[in-house]
Amino acid sequence: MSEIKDCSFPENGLEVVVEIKNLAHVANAQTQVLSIARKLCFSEIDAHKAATSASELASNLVHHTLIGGTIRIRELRKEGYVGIEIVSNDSGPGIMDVEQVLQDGYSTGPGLGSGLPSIRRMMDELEISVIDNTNTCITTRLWCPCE
Amino acid sequence: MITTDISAKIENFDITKDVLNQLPCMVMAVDRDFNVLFLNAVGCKWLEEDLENLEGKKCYDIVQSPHCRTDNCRVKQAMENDRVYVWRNKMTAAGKTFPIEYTAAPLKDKEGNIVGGLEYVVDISERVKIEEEVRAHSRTIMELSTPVIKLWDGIVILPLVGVIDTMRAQQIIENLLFSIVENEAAVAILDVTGVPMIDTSVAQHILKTVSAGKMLGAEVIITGFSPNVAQTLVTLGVNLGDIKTSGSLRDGVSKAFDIIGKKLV
Repeated sequence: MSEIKDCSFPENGLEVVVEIKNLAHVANAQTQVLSIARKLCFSEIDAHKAATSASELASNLVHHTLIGGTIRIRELRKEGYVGIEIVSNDSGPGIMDVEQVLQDGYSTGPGLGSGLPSIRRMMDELEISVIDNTNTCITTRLWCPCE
Repeated sequence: MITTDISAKIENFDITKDVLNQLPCMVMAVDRDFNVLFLNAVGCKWLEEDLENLEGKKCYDIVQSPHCRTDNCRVKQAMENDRVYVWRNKMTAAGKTFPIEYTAAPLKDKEGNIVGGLEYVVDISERVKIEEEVRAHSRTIMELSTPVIKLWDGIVILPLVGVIDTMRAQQIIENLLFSIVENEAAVAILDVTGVPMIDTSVAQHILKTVSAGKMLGAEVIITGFSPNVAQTLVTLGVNLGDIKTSGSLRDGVSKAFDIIGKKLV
């Protein structure tokens, strides 16, 4: 986030929704994020961080939800910054202990248990909201300075 | 009413009959005993039948499909359960068999009593052909993307290219392990130069490959991490400490020769 670049934006922000039902869809989420981040003039490493985060969220949807979910990728703008927002949405069964899933090495599935903690390390913002265990929404954002 | 309006605008046009007849799919209605009540013009053309000759014929006399005369018949189910069904099937009519998608719904009288069933049938030959092509392509890509190459006696190398999802990762492990055994390899090089991204699940597969390789008595060397991948991996908190890695493939190959006790000159 050190370099400041001049970016020209399309009029209406970029937005893509990727449906995640099986492992084959995970790569789709990766490539979509990568292409949007590049369009927004993110540095390669930031684009990779965002895409890897999307990939973690997408594999979580495959391994930990009942019927999969969606990943929404969207361009954000605020004074002097351009951002990318990745929202993972599913309909259950929710997260038992939000604090615990943010600890390295905790996993209830086949993974390493470092998905969500590493998203927190890679991205600028991470919000987890679980409503009634039927609506889990994980939102993460990465900002990049921009004129 | 809209129907009278259009009929008035276009001469010699009966909206209910002509639209139904010119709809480019087969529309058929049957009573509860599967006697044909109606078949539109496209249906007559497909089946090479005249509407007049259909009097008293059952639908399964003029159309053959795997669902006909079974409980799988969606028209039967639609009548029984008062529901709409959409299903794929294949249909044999006038000597030709082709894939179809048919939508079945109950046919009701003015009071809402179910008096029969109706269905419309779409020929999906084109769609099925395209789907088959896509499947064939993905199979080809799968096979193309995981070639294991024997570099030297005791050294195998697997260059990885493109996005690795867990499905491919699984296949990669299998291929590599098989070729380790087959070639009695002491060293296996996994080159990830062509991999744009590694997330925790792919990292986990790499870790698994390395330990499985070790069990077979082979040292696995990972080469070609790009700077972006390396930086992301560090943030992921994946511990690659026990794994032999090399920046470049060249370096990895030279390490491999060291292990088998040969030297590059």
